[in-house]
Amino acid sequence: METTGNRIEARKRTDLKSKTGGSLIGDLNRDKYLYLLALPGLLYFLVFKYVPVGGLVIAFQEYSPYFGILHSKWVGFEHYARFFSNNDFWLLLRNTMAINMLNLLFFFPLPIILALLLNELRSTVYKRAIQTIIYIPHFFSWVLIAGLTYLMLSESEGVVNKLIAAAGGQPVGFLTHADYFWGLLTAQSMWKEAGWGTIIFLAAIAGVDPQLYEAAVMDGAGRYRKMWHITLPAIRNVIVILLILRIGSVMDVGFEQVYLMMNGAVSQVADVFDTYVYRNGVQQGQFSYSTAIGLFKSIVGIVLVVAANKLAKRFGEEGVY
Amino acid sequence: MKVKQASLSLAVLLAGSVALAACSNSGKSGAETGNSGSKQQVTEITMNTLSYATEFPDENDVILKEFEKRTNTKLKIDWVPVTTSDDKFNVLYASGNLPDLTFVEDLGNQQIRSMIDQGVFWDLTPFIKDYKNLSNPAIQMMWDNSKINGKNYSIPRFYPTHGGGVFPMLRKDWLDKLGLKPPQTMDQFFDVLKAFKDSDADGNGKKDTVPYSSGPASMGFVYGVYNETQGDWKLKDGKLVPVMTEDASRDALLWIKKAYDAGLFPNDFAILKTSQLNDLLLSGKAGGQGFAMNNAITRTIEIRKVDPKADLIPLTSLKTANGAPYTPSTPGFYGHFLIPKKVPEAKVRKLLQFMDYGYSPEGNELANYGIKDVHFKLENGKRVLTDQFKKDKVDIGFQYIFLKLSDEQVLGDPSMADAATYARNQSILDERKKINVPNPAQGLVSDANTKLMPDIKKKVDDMRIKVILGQEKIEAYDDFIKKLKDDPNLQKVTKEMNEVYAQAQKNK
Repeated sequence: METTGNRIEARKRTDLKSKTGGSLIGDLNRDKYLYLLALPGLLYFLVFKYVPVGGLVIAFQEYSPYFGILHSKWVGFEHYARFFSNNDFWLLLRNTMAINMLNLLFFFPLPIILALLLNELRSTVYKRAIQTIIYIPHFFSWVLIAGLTYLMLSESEGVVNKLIAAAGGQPVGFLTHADYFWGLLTAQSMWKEAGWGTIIFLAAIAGVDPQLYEAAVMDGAGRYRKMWHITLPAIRNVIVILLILRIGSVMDVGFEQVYLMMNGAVSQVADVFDTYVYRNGVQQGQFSYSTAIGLFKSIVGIVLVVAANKLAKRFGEEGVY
Repeated sequence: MKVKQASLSLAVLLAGSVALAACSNSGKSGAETGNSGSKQQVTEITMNTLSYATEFPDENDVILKEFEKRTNTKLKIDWVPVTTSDDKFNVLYASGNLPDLTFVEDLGNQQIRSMIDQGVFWDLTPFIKDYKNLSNPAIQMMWDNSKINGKNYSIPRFYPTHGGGVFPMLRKDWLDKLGLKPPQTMDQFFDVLKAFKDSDADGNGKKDTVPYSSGPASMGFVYGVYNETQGDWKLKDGKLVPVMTEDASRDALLWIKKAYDAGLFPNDFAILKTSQLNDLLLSGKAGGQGFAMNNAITRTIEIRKVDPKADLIPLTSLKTANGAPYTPSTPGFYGHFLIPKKVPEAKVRKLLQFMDYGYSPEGNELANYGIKDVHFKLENGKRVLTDQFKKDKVDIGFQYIFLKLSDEQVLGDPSMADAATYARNQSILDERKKINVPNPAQGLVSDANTKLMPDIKKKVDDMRIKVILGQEKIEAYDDFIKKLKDDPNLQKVTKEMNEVYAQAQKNK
């Protein structure tokens, strides 16, 4: 008796739900075309981002292609022990951090400054022209930029060294001296990506309510006052979000750039996690070892993003999530 | 009546083919391999190989078709360009999806080595003697030198013992102009290069020549000369010691530094890529570069476009003041083809048959010169290439699978040089053949060596470059080497290498 009563009860409930569209199936049914629209994207993330995560277990194996993931020997944290006890670890960490910190310090503010400057331009034609010119380097490959750098700075053919020689100076080995390497990388990144980075800030600036500027002008604010008190605060949340994302990738250094610029004389300051993984993993086939390093990098990245996000929220910003 | 006869014979034929089909079905792997009954059955072969060409034969390639016809095969070949071969091969091995004939550049490759230990590949030792071209005594050396634990797991890709390897070649026309002879010792080599620098050898009115167009990567021969040994290991009192920590290597480093300071190498020594170094030589501004011997002819032709008198002469050998002469040599092969166990035995024989054909005089000729009277003609016993050779691009394909079995592999094409020059290079090669510099660690593989040595080597290379560029003093190098000798990783590698060496000596 009791069970039948329950069943009827349950049935009533589902009927009620489907009518109001409260249940999951009801939801799916009602918005099926919307979900269908999202399906390719979901599949993409599932197949290319989530399924491969399973492969990370080889970081704890002595992975052999012959045995595959299922039958390879488990070695626990052996690869991590090898990596952290290696003297190279500190070298790699130092180089990676140094290159990224320089980037954060010099490269990150540059697009903001550029965007503010562009925003102040009156002539639209002039503004568009400048924008186009500073976007272009973004589309150059690193190979091309490395080539240009060689042409500018090498000792035998470099324009800069030819100028120095013409002025009676000694040629400088910009490319082979450890002292210049980090600066060189930062300068390259700035030249290549600064213009492209302005897009998002310009978009944010375009969204600022013009009434605020009008009110400020009424109060007698000049250009600098408007920039400082209206534009910058208005785009502050965009800056914070980009900064948090940037911090998340603090363990990544553009592989191509470093790999192309690296040579024997500077490898002490140039070797980063990515080049190390390439050498050991891809070239020497130590897949487990390099996967372990990659996993370590990702974990550090996640921790930093979460921490930076918390910090941002504490200061009253929106954060990434 | 006639009709009846025809139908009768048809019936017999049908019955016969049914019987044959039954026969091949009963055979375990008959369908794949085609046993006695189905002679016409084509063997499908998948393989990959290293290629130095910039474009690759497609499935309609004339030579490919001819090979298929002559060997009754259907070939699926993956040509791997040398520029990305390291990555591609490693990923392929990792995928586990190996072709019937799997190319391996170096059996010391860690992955391949452990796969051999795990029994992934066929032991070919018992088969080889059945193939008369593969077991040709003239190439016995390559089988001997490619053994692992006394067994042949691979068909080595033949490469002559002498004439290959990076070793200097110099502008003979510049030597003649300055009244100099090809150097025989490192001191003479230095003096010759210095003379190239100080005199206006290219005659453009400026002292802007680069005596030797080389980067640190192709300076290995200097360490070889000073150590009187090839490879990374040297035999001392019956034990293997790493060459890098030897005093002789320090002397070699100092020679390179002296030469660099004297301006004998390009200014951007440390960063120039091979292609840039090559361009320097081809522009007629450089006095020499290190190459395998066949480059003497091909590169001379290139330089002559800017300097018609140019002539590159390969050096025979170099030695230190009181040392033994050094010239590079190989174990008689470069690269290997391995057959995975998933291939059934009957097909292994088919694969060996195919390889055997490539090592036969006809097969080898087809691979390297094409079809007679189409791609080349015989004139006075010499092969002369026709225009069709270029049109069909004979030289982008099979010559990288079956290298020439004659001296032509290392000397180059005789039709591209005048007879006197070719004879001169031949005599240099003959002289080189008399010199066999020991390479005690040839073919030895240890786990620690493959795993740890690349990083150690890289550190040594970095240190050497700093010393050469003057960023570090030689004292710093001495400290570095002293520390390196105590490095537990290097000690581990040395210990393992000696164990493997002792084992190999026992097997001999």
